[in-house]
Amino acid sequence: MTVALFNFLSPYPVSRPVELPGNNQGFLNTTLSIQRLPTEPIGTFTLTLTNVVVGSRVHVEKQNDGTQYYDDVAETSTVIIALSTYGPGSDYNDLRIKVRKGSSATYYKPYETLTTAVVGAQSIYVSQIPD
Amino acid sequence: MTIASDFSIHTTTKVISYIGAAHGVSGAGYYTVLELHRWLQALAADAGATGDDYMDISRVTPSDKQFDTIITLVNGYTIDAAASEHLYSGSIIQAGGDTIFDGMQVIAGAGAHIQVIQIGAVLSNDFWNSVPYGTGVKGLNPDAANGIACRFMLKVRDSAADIDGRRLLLQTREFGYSYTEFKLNGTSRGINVAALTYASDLNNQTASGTVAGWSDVANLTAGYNGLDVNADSTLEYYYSKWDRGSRSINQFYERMKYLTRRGETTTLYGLAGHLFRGITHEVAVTTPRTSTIAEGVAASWSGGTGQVLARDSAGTATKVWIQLLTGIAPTAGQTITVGGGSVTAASGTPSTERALSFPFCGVSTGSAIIGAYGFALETADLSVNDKLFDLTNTLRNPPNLVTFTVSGLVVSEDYLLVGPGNSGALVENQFTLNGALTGASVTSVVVTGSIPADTPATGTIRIKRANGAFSRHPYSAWTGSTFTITSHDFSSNNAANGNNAFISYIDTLAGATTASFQATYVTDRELFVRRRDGGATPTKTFETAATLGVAGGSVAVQRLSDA
Repeated sequence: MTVALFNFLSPYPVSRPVELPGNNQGFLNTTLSIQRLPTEPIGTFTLTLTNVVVGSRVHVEKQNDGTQYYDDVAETSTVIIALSTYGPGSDYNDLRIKVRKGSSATYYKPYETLTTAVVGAQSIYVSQIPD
Repeated sequence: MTIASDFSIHTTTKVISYIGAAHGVSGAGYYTVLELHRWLQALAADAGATGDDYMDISRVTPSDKQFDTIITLVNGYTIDAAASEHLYSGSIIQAGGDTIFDGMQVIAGAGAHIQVIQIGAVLSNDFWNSVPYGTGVKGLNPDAANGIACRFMLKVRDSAADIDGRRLLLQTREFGYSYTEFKLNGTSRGINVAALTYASDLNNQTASGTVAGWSDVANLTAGYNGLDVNADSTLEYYYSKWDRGSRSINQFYERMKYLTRRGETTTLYGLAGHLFRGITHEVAVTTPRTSTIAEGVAASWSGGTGQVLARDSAGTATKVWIQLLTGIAPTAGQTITVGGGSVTAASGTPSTERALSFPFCGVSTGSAIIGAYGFALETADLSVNDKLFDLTNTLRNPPNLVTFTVSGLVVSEDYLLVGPGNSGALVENQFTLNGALTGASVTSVVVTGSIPADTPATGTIRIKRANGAFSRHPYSAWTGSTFTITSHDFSSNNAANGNNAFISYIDTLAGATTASFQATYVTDRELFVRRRDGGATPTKTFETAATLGVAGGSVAVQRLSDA
């Protein structure tokens, strides 16, 4: 875990005057920044699933290894899921969304789609087909 | 039991296995393919796996449904053979379509034992004939209310190849019951219906153990042979010549059923009895030929196999009759390999499919047989009500051979004459000679007009001689207007052109208490019967009119002393 000395997400410039030979004065510049690990969230991703059949199980997982991010039964047709966003290129952002309703009638074919987490929000219209 | 407890899903192989009770055991479970799909989908929507089900929302989707009867297992999920035996009412497609189990639904009477033939062999694992626990009746997943004897699935595609083009033959061959078959020339996804009959055969009520002993029934010629079934002096050709021995025609029918019943391995034409069906195809063949073509041997060609039941010539065959075993019949121009030889199917002449009968011999009416295509018994074993179809598929009726019997004779005393009659008198002018008989060794007698068709094949005729007497002459054959008689000297007391002659149907001194002749019935014929006894104990002459009818005829002579 990186200790957050600077509460900035962007590089933090630091400079001070320095004495130079010959009565010259200059500035010593440096830039401080925090480099997040791929496993460290850099923000939040609000995923909104609409048109979900009530009673469906909604499951969000990491694409490459199936790590579960979210799993619950939809109680309303709109499901809002708060997720983390990771650094650009992190495979933690690659999400698979599964929506299944196979336990009780009316049955629906499994719905599955992919998305990428970003800082911000995204809405996905879930089109489930009766099975 | 439930589907959840009867099936498990392997965690690594994704194989869905049946782990419940075996067929016929209490608790054995059977489920429709839709129920399997629903179960898998329910598991797939679970938050987590429990027990041996493996499946939950985190797993890839296990199945897909096109219709309620067509389920595709996806993402590597498969069922094993045992699981397939406990599913019905539809198809399971798996391995990306490389493996397919198709649904079978047999319409037949409850308890029917169904044989399934695939790639020319009866499937030995006939699990569908199991008796469900507590029912006492064969057949898995029956629906008696809808006439369904059993429902099950069979593998029709494996390793990305259809098994014999997905062809199946379903048949019932229970001794004592009707024999039927239903051919599926390529199953379809979903439910494939096979309509069979499983009803008591009233002409097959003899115990099988009894019929087993009727070994005097034999096929005298298993192959192409000529018979004159309709007695028109022209041979018709058949692929068998059965001798029914001492058995009635219906007993013969029962014996044929016995020889082809379920489980019968005694061979007919080189095939196990339970696989023998009779001729399915007639194939015109031509050159090039190599070697000779045998009968009762296997044949093969590109796209099919069969068994040769008959050919019209060993060395120069132009027709071959086969029972198709696998694939499709030979097409024009194909080379057919038979044993060590081969022939070529004639170009432009497709194989002719022939209708089958069940059993292979045809149908019994109880007192006659309606033969299958090409099937025959020897002519002596046939009667007028039998119907045979030769290899040209032409109906052939045996003649109505009827017998006329005179009884009450005294051996070596009575002389009997049976001749043509009219109003109670002997017809002496049945024929007139067409040409005088004057030679020293005459062997043929020509009469005016045609000799009647109901004339016995052999017998005697009487010819009026110059002295007015009618001399007796045995004949050995007749045709048209000519009798072939035993050589006789007509050089003296000859017979002039136009003299009378008649057939003496019986013309002999009694050698037994009865005398008879046999003839082909054409129409009723009046006969004149005369018996005389001028021996040591003479009797008055007995004369009477009689009729040779559709069922023959008989007369009992009277004896009045003339002492």
